[in-house]
Amino acid sequence: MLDSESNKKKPTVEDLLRVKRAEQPSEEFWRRFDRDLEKKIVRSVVRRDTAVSEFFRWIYARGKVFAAGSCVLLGAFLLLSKSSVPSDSPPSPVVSQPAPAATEVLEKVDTWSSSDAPSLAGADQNFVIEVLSSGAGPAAGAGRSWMGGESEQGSNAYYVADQLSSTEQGWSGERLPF
Amino acid sequence: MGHSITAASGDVPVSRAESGDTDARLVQSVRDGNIAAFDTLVHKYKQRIFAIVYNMTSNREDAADLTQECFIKAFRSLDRFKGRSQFFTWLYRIAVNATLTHLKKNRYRRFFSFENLNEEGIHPDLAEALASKVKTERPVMLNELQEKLNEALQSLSPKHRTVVVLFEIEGLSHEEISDVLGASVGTVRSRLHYAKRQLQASLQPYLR
Repeated sequence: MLDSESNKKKPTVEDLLRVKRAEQPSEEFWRRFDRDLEKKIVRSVVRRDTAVSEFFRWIYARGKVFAAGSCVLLGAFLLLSKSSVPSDSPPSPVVSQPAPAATEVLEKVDTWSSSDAPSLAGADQNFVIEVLSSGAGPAAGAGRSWMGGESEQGSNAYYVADQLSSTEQGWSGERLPF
Repeated sequence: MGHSITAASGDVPVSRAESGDTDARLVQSVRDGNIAAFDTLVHKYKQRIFAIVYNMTSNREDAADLTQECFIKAFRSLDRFKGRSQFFTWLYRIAVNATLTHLKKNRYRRFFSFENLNEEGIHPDLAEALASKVKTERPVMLNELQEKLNEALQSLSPKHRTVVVLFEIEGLSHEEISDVLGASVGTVRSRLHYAKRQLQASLQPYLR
């Protein structure tokens, strides 16, 4: 406490506040301050570079997300635009055409019924009808054993098969298994 | 109030205008990539910035950190300094804003630390009063005075404290303070008047 006797010497508020100007840190404090500040500035420069590269990396990463999102949105848009076609609109005309290969086969089958078709006489014709209607086909594997004998029926069967295969040169080109 | 500042060397007082020209050249130099020019600016203003922050916070460690933060901010945003105000005003603004933010964040923390008092800087009247004391008593009295001053300053609101520090301790004019704070000159005057009345009440035992 200041001496009460020296009341006339007592300073003003301004004088007292100027005492604060006299408060000064030591030289050692400033040396440490300068050292720290230099480090911090260098670190901030490095961090700024990192921040810039981070930003571009962020943009790039988001770019991939945006690209993926755009693809999804585009796909969704296309789907929606397809499904949003009104159902009461006239159906698009469908032209059914047999494939060229099928046309060829059909033409060949048609030729069977024409005058060029191989003609089977009497009993042979009936035999063929029997064989076909008996359900024993080549797929069953029973036909060969059943027809494998030296019987007259067997020779007839081969004959029919030969006839059939001769008419289908352009079909499979192979001899039928029975 | 004095309108001259002490140059970096601490010896030659230079006018604000001259100092402003030098600052502008240094700022341009830093922008051109000469980092050493920023060192010159730091060297020139570090004590003044530290004093502002220290007197606003009354804490040496916080003041050191905030002063460094202020220079780093200035360095990083130097490109945004348009030169419409003087460099030192811009720098003071950064320091004051950083300090006010700090004070807001640490509203409930009161921890004061004092700097050494250079007795050469004490007002003659006060020095005379101190001279009547015996040497052993003087440091105790000085510490007490520092403590009371800090308490009185801290009893002010941050805004009022800022005006007092800038005007009474740093010697800025009302116009310069208005520029730093972005407030009108009238507001600065009003705050200063109110703050002084508060301080007078707090420091009554030491006043005439």
